[in-house]
Amino acid sequence: MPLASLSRRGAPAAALVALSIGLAACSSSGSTSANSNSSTSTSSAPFVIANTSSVQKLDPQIATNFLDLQALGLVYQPLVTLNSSLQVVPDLASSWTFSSDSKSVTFTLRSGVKFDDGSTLTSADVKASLERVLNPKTGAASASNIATVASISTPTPQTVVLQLTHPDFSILYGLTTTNLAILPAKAIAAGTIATQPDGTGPFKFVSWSPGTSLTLAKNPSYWGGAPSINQIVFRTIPDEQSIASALQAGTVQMGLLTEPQVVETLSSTSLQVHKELDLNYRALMLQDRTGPLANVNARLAVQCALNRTDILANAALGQGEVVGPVPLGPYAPSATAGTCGTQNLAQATHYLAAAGMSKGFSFTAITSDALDATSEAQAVTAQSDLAKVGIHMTIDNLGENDYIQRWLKGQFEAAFAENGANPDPYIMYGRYFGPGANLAVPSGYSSPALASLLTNADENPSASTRASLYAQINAYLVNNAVWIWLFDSYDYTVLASNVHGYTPLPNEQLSALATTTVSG
Amino acid sequence: MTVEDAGARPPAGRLGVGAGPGRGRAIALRIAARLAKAVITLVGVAVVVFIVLRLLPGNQITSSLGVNAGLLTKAQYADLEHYYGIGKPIPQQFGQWAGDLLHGNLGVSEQSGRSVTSLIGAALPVTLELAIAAMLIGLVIGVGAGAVAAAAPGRLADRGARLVALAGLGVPSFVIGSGLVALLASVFHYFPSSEGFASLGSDPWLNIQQIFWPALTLGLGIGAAILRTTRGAMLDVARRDYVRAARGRGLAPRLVIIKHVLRNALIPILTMSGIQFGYLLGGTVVVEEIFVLPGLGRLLLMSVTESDYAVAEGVTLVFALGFIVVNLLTDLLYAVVDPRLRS
Repeated sequence: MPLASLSRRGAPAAALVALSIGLAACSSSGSTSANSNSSTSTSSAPFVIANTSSVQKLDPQIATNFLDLQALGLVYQPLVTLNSSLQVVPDLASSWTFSSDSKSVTFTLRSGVKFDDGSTLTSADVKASLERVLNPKTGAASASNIATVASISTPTPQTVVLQLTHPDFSILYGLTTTNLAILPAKAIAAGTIATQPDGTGPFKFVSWSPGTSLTLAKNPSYWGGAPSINQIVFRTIPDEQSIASALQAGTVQMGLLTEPQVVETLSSTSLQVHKELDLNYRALMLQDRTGPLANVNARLAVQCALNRTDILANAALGQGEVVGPVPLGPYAPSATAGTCGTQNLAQATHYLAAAGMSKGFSFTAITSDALDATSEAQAVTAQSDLAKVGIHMTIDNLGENDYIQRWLKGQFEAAFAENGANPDPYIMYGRYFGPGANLAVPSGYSSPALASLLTNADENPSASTRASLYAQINAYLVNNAVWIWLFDSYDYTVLASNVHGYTPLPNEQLSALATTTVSG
Repeated sequence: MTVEDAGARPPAGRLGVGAGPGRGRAIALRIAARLAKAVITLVGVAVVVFIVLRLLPGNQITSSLGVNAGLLTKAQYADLEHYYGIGKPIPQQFGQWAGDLLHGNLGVSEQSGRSVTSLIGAALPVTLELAIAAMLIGLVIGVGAGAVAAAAPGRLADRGARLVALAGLGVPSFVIGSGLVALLASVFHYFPSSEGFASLGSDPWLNIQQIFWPALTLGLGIGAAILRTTRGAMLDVARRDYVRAARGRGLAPRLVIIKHVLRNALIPILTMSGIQFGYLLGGTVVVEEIFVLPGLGRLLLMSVTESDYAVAEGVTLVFALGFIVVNLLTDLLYAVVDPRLRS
């Protein structure tokens, strides 16, 4: 039976859908623009920071998600921090001195610092905070940064003394992380750290919607001067292209981006695009205890065969820099220093012969695109390079949890990894290669000589001697191809055109927002 | 011939019962039986989810800290294992969780420190709104286009509708959603979720914009399934003798369609809609993530990623409960649309 009479009823239904799509698109793009105007023209409008990640924890001492540390870094502060040259400078501590035997360090606290609840910062808060980190029940991974602290004393309300088990000059760099932020002793005792942030920073906690947003308000009694921005909202937008669009529409004032393709689309707009190397580095970690990679010449052959510039170009569109073991800061070596700083296939062949593996060898490398989107692309380029000298690398791309489990247990021959960096080489590598290193298993390498170099550098009171020892450590790592350091990629901070006075810091903390202004 | 002669019958196992003095009691017994089955299903879901979550690689410690878990000392690791209950026999862990559940305590999120009940309470209205909106869009598309297709079988409109249905069924919602986001963001610089989620009460217009696109994403798939069912059911009913008789009695074609064809095709459409609504709850996991809606789907995804067992288990139970309730309501609706069940 023909049902033609219904077609006239169906048509309006379809038209309604089309109309509603069109209406929503047109009118909402209109309203977005309107919102954008209002959001940037009034000082009471929130300053929206968009990121694909979301804030996962409010406890700064156990947070590991990078955005958590960026957001909580506006609420909480450590004793010392890093400046734009990645050197240690005062934060809550106005000064510090090491004892003559270098086995204790005394911090003098800045005066007039208050927590958001109005209470004054004292040495008791510092003691309670650091002891909380050291308490195994807290489960703070950053406890390793202050593992040399034997006891904490508070001679005066403004003075804190850390007694060390042995001299440890790197502890200053270790203390700069938001993971070692100072919390109110009262809140620690009350157990409210994970739910009610109460810090000393330029902004204070307002609300948190897990997975969606975190809202902060300016701290009018901030010791560094009240910020100009009234309210900051960290908003999760899972797709970077959408963040770019929100920036263009004016509903977002700051975008924290990593994808160069997306940033490229913004180059012709009025948005301000800043790019900076982040404090992470990509490396091919090698298990040097068994198999062919236990042979130093085999490892050097791998190092010489790799074209790190090509790996950077193919995996990260060239958006970054080839780096050595320490990517940034005063102790960063030249990226091309040491054995085969650039690809040298003849030298690779020579090392293979020296290893007794003239026909090459085979090994497997694990990657995880879930953890690092460039991981497998790095491996594919490396695989091609290695094949040129007869080294056959199999790629095993794993899910996030599988990768982490195998990495922690050292169950790999090689692993393409994105690791966190620090300007201080001891902080970076003491945990892998130092005496009693926590990460000795995944590091895959141990050497008394390297451990000794690290210890000597950490314990030496002379800055120039430490610098010299760190240079030796860098050379040791490269010349023995302990791992193969690949590159450091750029992170991008995109700002609306009416945002002024913001300078991204190399440690990616957002503390410059305390002095940032937004024009009408 | 009367409408009661129609070939569309309630599916086997549904709540159809005969007339008579014991009809009310029989319905009550049927409902009680369905509720008992629902409880058994929920227990099964709880057990399966509880075990599957613990079979995933890693644990709460590595999910929370990633490779930084390697920095923990043995004492720290042991304390965290104790805190999370890692290492306890699974039956013991399940017994503790089930005991709490029976007391109405779904536990506390190990990541956010908030009660699971409060997290679900905040997320549930968002998902319900999305699901209802998607269902409405699906019904408009499905019934509307299905009827248009059935009105002119084999013609351009029918072929077009079937093509749309095929595409709607064949293309996963995450592809449609991601495509929509990319299109709207890149071309129109429009992404309403960038303004933060607004509830229907706080900002109705923004809320509608934020819900419409994900609902459309889900609604297209649902609409495709309903379209095919509507078209098939209407064509089937249109061939029945009583429809020809109705036309022979001189009834206007439009009335024939509405009173005889569409009404008698409603049972399979209702069945399909109920099934789709159930699956819709699962579809929200991906779509809420793409469109940044703070609903149950996104909460579930986050909790599984972070091995936040209490939240994952609680949300899964709510989803299972929703599926069961929707199916039960669908059964009850048969009595409304099928006169035989009311007599």
